Amino acid sequence: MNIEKIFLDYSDYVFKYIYGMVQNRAEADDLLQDTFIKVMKASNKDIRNWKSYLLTIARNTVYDHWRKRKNKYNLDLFKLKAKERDIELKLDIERGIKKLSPKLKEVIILREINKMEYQEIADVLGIEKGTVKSRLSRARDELKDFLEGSK
Amino acid sequence: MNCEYIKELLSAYIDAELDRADIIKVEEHIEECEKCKKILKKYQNISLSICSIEIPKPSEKAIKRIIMFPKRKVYRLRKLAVGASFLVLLGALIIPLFQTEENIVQENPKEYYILKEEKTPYAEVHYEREGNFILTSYSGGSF
Repeated sequence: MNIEKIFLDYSDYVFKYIYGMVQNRAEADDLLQDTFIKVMKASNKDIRNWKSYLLTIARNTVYDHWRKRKNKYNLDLFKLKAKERDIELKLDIERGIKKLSPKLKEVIILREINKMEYQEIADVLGIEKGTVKSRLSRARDELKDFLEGSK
Repeated sequence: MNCEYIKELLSAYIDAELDRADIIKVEEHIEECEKCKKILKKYQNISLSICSIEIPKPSEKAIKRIIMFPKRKVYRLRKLAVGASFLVLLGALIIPLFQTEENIVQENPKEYYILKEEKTPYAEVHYEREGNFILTSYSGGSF
């Protein structure tokens, strides 16, 4: 299949996931680019489900990025905190999602933003459908607590 | 019925991921339980507000960089890979033609000697000469 067509068909969809995970546009742009470059370099024969294949690669890219940045973030923690205070307060729900752990964040994003079914999410994350169910329940519970607490 | 049990079903309920039996359990329970009904309402509101988050589209610049990428690099990489493997193949075909028994041995006389003499407890290495080639065979154990 033509990679340019794949890109045009799915780039918005993949971007939604990446943006939901990092919540920063410039970062999401770079990660989208990294994701598709990985796809171009891979041999993409026998891909039956492009949607979940692309999301799996996007997910690896996001996690790699976090792993690489981890030390840098620790160094910049103080600076970032000061910066965050200056930025006008975002909507509560976005701040709530930001506070979720990556595992809970990604199920919420895949479900609510990418509109995937539980089985599809399970396939992308390589976990059981029952785990998706319980993680989503926990994620919603934490968001609810966060929203109640921030009022 | 147990509120904790129902609470765990509520999230899957709003995702329409419950089977019929569980849907009935949830609906019967929230008819009677104000507390769980409130939680359900809150979960639904959370879903609605997540759906209303404005997700930007990838920037024009990023799209351009991705679409331009294959022409600049992937094809070049692929050409390089094809070229390199062709050269390796050609080398593998041509080099043996120029190699005689003498220069194999002379090229690396020391190594040849050591290999010839060394025996491990697990395997014996035998060398035989046949025409221009040196055949190697292993016996006396597995690696």
